[in-house]
Amino acid sequence: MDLDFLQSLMGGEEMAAAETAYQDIWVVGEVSGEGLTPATRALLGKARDMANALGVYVKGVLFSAPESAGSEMISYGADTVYLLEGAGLESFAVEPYAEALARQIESGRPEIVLFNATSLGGELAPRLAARFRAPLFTHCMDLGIDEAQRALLATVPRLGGEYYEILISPSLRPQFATVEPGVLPAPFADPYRFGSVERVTFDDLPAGRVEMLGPYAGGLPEPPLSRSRVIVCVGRGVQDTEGVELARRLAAKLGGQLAGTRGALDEGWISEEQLVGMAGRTVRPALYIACGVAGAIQHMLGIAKTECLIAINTDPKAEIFPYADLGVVADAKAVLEELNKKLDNTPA
Amino acid sequence: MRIVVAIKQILDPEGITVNRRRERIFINREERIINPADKCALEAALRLKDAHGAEVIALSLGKPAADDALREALAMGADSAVLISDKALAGMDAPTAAMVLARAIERLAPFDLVLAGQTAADTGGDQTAGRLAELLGLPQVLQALELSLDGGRLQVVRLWDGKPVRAAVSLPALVAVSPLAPPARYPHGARIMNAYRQMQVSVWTAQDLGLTPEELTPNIESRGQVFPPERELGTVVEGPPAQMAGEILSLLRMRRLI
Ligand SMILES: Cc1cc2nc3c(=O)[nH]c(=O)nc-3n(C[C@H](O)[C@H](O)[C@H](O)COP(=O)(O)OP(=O)(O)OC[C@H]3O[C@@H](n4cnc5c(N)ncnc54)[C@H](O)[C@@H]3O)c2cc1C
Repeated sequence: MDLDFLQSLMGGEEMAAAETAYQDIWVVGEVSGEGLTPATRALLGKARDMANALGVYVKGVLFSAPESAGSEMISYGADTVYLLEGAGLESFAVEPYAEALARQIESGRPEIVLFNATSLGGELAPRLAARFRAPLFTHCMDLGIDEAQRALLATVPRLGGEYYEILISPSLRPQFATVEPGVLPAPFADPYRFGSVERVTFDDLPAGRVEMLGPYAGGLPEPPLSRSRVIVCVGRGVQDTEGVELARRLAAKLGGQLAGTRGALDEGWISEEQLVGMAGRTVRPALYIACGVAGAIQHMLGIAKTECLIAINTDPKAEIFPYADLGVVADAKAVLEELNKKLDNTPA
Repeated sequence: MRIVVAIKQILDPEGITVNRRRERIFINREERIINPADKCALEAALRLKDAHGAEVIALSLGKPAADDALREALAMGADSAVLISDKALAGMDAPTAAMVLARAIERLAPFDLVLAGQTAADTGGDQTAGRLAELLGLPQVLQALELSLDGGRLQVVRLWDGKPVRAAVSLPALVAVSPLAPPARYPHGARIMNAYRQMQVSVWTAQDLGLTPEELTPNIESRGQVFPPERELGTVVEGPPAQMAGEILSLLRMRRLI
């Protein structure tokens, strides 16, 4: 009789049993101002769908949050919410936060733990994944479930989002993921959903060795243009230095930088470092607003990897328009002025 | 002060194009570079060395070709370099890579500071630094832009949800440097020659680090690639400036750019 074979069979079953001991999907949420952040709500909606596919519960986790935020989590799909509190959790400190969450995960044994890919999620998820020797998928653009393997399917961006890869870890539990804020659809709240909010108090958390000292008011070195997420580009069509100033202000409001064409360089409006194109920098921003830019091929070569291109030009036949996500036939200065005005009027 | 900087060699993303319509990835120019964030981490280490004196050790995990990345680090000003390279390490997943690096860093003890890049420009991975901190039992400061030493404490300007904030940490610590931190210096010509002719890159194998095959078994699989839809181009609108500004802002909101 082949005992080894029998044993391996039984061992296999034991393992399967141990795996199913992990269940439920947890969402580590964030609160800002009046309630949950929009990304947290969206994450709960996604967790709810996946939990339905797996037939398990959604559990929310919040740090030092009011009861009302717990109830809000329930309205968006959580069945249970843990409000973690205690000395060391009053405001963010990575070591006590990670320790409290680790203890909660140890006792609750979730199969999936989701975070927003915010600073909070980015600090906690890798530490916890390392502690549990578990897989972590970062900056996910979407999540799904492989029902046959009862495993998370994570869509992660490659090459800065040029394409995505779907990853799975069939056997390790728990599975951790951070989800890029803003990519999941906003769910509907059901204020009549039923669930429980439990306070969990820790009284022996380690002291954090990192001190958070508040906002930094000093100047920072500008990142190189090639890494800027938002670029406002001026061409000869912005007319004068007043037009350039309007573009610079818009760039600052959008958290981006000013750049220009050869035409703008020749006018003395920008520096050599700000020239974009064949003879200048190659950039790959999420947003490029071209103001009074003709769209010469030598310029366009430098912005081929722009995610969203907006062009403002008075000439409806301008070469740049066929490349643009949105082309606006209008005077660049006038539109820049309006954009600055409208952004001043909308609270950040 | 002893600083260990972990650097990864990657294929330069600028040399790669993705054709979304044909769902294919083309490598036009196979150039290997130091991952940009890791290079910023190296620069941060060298600035601390310039200001306070420090021994900077560059550490890389990769193919034998990563020797070049380490020579570049030596040319920039690192004092010594270690390459972890072994056929047994091919096809490693992110958790394993962090575990192997942590093992190597422990072997480099004592150290005061471990620096790493925040993100990898090729895989988009954003976890090695945090994993290292946990595995090494160190406090961590992530997304760092500027580091300075102030009486044994490290002062860091870092990004928190996109905004610069200040943090301070006792040493030893791990700091992950943002790719938005100051870019790296160019090495001196003479140092480049030295880096190849006179300086050594130590090579460590899986066995040197006491790694077992079970520890190195990957647990993450790919289920294929997905290509986002091609951009739809060429919508052109015309009208009074205020209305045009409105059009632009609604597109920005729709694409979640504001
Ligand atoms: C070898 C070589 C390398 C080059 N490298 C580069 C490079 O790296 N980068 C680069 O930029 N160029 C480069 N050029 C130059 C390039 O060919 C163009 O000449 C240049 O980009 C044009 O700049 P522009 O669009 O600002 O100016 P113009 O060509 O003068 O275009 C101005 C545009 O503004 C529009 N306009 C006018 N009035 C208004 C208004 N009131 N409101 C809105 N729009 C208005 C016009 O319709 C026009 O389309 C290179 C050229 C050569 C030969």
